[in-house]
Amino acid sequence: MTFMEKLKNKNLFIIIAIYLIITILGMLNNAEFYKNVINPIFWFFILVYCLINGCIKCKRDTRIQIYAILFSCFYIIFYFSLGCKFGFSKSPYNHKFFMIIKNWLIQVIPIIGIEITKGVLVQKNKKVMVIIIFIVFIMLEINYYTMFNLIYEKENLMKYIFSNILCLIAQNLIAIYLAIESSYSFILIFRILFKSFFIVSPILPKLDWYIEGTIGILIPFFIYLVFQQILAKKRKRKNNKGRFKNAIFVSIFVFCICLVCFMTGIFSYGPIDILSNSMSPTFNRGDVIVFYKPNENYLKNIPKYSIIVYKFKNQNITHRVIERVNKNGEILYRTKGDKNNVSDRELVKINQIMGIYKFHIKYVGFPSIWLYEYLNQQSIR
Amino acid sequence: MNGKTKVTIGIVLLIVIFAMSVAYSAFATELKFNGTAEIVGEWDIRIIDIKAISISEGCDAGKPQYTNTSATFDAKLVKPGDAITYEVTIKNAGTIDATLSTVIFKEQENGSEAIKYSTTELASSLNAGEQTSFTITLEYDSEITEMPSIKNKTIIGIIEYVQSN
Repeated sequence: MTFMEKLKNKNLFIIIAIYLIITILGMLNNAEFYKNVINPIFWFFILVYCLINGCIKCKRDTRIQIYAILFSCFYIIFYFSLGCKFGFSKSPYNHKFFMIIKNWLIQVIPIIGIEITKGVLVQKNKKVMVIIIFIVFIMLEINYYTMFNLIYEKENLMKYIFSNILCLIAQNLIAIYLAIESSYSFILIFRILFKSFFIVSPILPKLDWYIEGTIGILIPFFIYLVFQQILAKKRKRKNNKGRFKNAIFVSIFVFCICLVCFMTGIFSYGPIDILSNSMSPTFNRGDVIVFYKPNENYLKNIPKYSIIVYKFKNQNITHRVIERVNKNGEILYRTKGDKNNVSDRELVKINQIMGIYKFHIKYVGFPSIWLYEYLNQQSIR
Repeated sequence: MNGKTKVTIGIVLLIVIFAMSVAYSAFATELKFNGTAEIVGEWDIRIIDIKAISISEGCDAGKPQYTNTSATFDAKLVKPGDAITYEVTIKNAGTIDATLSTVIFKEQENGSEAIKYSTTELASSLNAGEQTSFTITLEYDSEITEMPSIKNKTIIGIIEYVQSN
């Protein structure tokens, strides 16, 4: 890097660092004005600055760009297909032509500015500087307005951190890795295409914070794995030790995907924490039971003494069926906890039943219970 | 990136996903199994409060509950003429101005005819940072003279906002 290039990059970094302070103040004082006016205008001028000063020097690798387009299409299809499992909701964005253009400019110009500047700054820079740039760019994309609003809502704040900030960290990690190792164009194309789809699509998958968060974290790692292969092929590296560690990484990644699928009930099996000792000694508080979702026919004929998981007033209850009741043609079940002396007061309808107990794992549920109790600060009945 | 770093990143990834799963499991003990869509960030319209503001004597308004995107209450009315009014407050905590696009209140089939309900109108727009309230009143029909055979009713309300022009 020449002296002039270093100077230009230094100036660029100082501007970005000052803008970080404006971002925090702007978001806390007038988030709407900041997001809709200041932010896109700033990044537009940064792009102009980079172009005038010749800062943008992206390696032209058509193959990477094609991979980016293909991967984006694959991801959009995958993201959309999640709606088949979790349902769809109407997009909140206005779909009038000028509003689409407005939304696109407001949201995509900052993405272009951020990714290009990040790519320019991290290339051929010292390790310490790369870490500082990494932190600054994470901080630039944090929504301080939302964070400030959630500061006293422990549960929502935690959800926000998991579903947004951790994703930002993962996304910035992969963006910097690609900018150093290959080119920032992959992440740039990917983010532009996905955001554009998000703005234009009339319906969006109804995903909760856990799915959004885990996808946001796992996708950058998936990109990393793909790029490892591409770069290894390019450099023709053959190292058995490296392959072994790569295999460990891939195994962890696959395990994480399986864990997410299991937690969200994508498989026909799902887990649930046991909060009370009402089913003792079969299983106790702190155990995790694994249940499966049977078909409609089975739900109408659940054998006596089966253990079922059902919803009751926003809570999940796991009790044993002691009687099948046919009330005016409707099948209901009387349930009872093994430790309880009397049966449950309310009969359970079929549409309340989430699944049938399969097996349990001892003590695994305690971390969740402690967290639940900490967040709710109330005793569990 | 060397192999050691790669394995370290993998372990961090595993810890993060595990921590998220623990949190998900903790929240799922109370919330819905599949959850509801929560778009936190630019678009963030949510319920911030639900409370009973008027209760006839002897009636029980229960303990209304809400999440960001759903509110539930369990009203117990004793005699004809009894009524309970709940006030639901919605806030636009995002940075995009919103317009009310859909308001649907519908009764589930086979509900009691003796329970009537009415709602107040919602403000047509909800700009960023603003909040709005509406009330829903449940009433035991005062003209009923016989004990109804079906004693409960489920009312589902769907309120949707879209980005303003």
